[in-house]
Amino acid sequence: MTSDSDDASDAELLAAHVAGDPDAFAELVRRHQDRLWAVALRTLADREEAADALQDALVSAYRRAGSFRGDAAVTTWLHRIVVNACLDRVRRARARPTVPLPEREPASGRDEHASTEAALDVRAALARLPESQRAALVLVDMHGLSVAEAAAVLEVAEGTVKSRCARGRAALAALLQPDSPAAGPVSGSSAGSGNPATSSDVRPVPGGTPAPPSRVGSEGERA
Amino acid sequence: MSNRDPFDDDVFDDHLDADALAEQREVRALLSSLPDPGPVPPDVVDRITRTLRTLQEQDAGRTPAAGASVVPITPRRPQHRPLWLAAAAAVMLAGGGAVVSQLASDTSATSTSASVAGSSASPERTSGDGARGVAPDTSGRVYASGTPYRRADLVRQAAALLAPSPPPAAERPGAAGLLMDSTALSACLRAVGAAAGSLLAADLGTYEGRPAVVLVVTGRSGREVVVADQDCRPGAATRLASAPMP
Repeated sequence: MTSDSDDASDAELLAAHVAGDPDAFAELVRRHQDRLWAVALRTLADREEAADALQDALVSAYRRAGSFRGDAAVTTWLHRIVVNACLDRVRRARARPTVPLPEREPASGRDEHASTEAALDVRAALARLPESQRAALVLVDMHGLSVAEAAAVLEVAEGTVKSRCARGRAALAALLQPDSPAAGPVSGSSAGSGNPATSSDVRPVPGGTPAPPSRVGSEGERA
Repeated sequence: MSNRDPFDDDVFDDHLDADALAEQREVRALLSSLPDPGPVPPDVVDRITRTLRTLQEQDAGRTPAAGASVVPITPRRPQHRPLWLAAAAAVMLAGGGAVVSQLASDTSATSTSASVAGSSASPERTSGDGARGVAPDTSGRVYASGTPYRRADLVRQAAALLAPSPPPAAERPGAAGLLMDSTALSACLRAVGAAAGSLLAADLGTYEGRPAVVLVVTGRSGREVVVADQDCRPGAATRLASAPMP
């Protein structure tokens, strides 16, 4: 590791890559790969899908580096590319036939949230959310980004992020209720082919288990 | 709403009633309590590294050797070469041994031929006929060093472009499209208000962290350095800075 590489900012590394530095992009990847991996794995909940998405995203970033305008932080730009790669996979997976996962009992109560079983239930429920809500929750509630940062990554208004998070949390709460009609085994791969919970802003998917209507207002999507 | 606190406004939708807000807090806490996935698994790092290495080699116009070892994602000191040398190597690879022309048509340059082994070519600038793909009509030294130019040090850094021992430059041909294309470079000069023949040196790097092209030109009142963003063309160029030079 050299002091040059250590001292360079992300933007400087990206510019150096564009200018032809053969090592700059690898250093940028090294700096951020763990965070990007976490986003991919949390969004897709499938190791192989996450690995493919991360690779797709980094190839895209490598090739598109020249189009980076510096309007956002490089990390925001990288996160955006990774999230988009993940959501592309979710959409593609949804178009494929699904393979049911083995049935297992839903979590018996919220006091077991810390258990592995409950964590699996949470991830499975998360995989059933519409991709826009899933991405917002991954970034804000799991990844710790502020609403403003998540809005920059997702290229939507902050109000849209809040709304997506609110809808997603409400749908998750319904899915995790043991006595809820929405609870139960999840079909489809966790890479996103699971059927999304249906709420007022969600495209119904054949075979999907409907969640109760969200209690929040419209998403306020920016045109 | 009495059950909200200032933190809620940043995270939660403001149309929620008390029950809904409590539920939102509970689910958020649940999600944030899930364990971190940890670092990228080594096999995934290897995969990605291999892929990026292949891209890099494709960019450099080389085919990866069969069974080439994987280079781990670790920082190495950038290896710099003047852009003209990179261009020479590219033309030689494409042309199989033709004499290449320099990017910068400085009349004081020494004429020489380049060998196929671009990496071992002498650092003198080349000139001659028969260049393909590089036909600059804009004089001046042209680099793509990736130098991080700073406002406070701009004049000194720009002066280094004119020094007998120029700054290190990147080696990947094709990366510096703006500077590889004399028409684009001329357009860039026009965009920042400089004449095509006024160029003394150009360099691709960053300015205050932003990708930029640094141009040293001769103006009416003497030499000056002009910094523009790398999308430097008439109607789109953003002139980031300029300063007179001694």
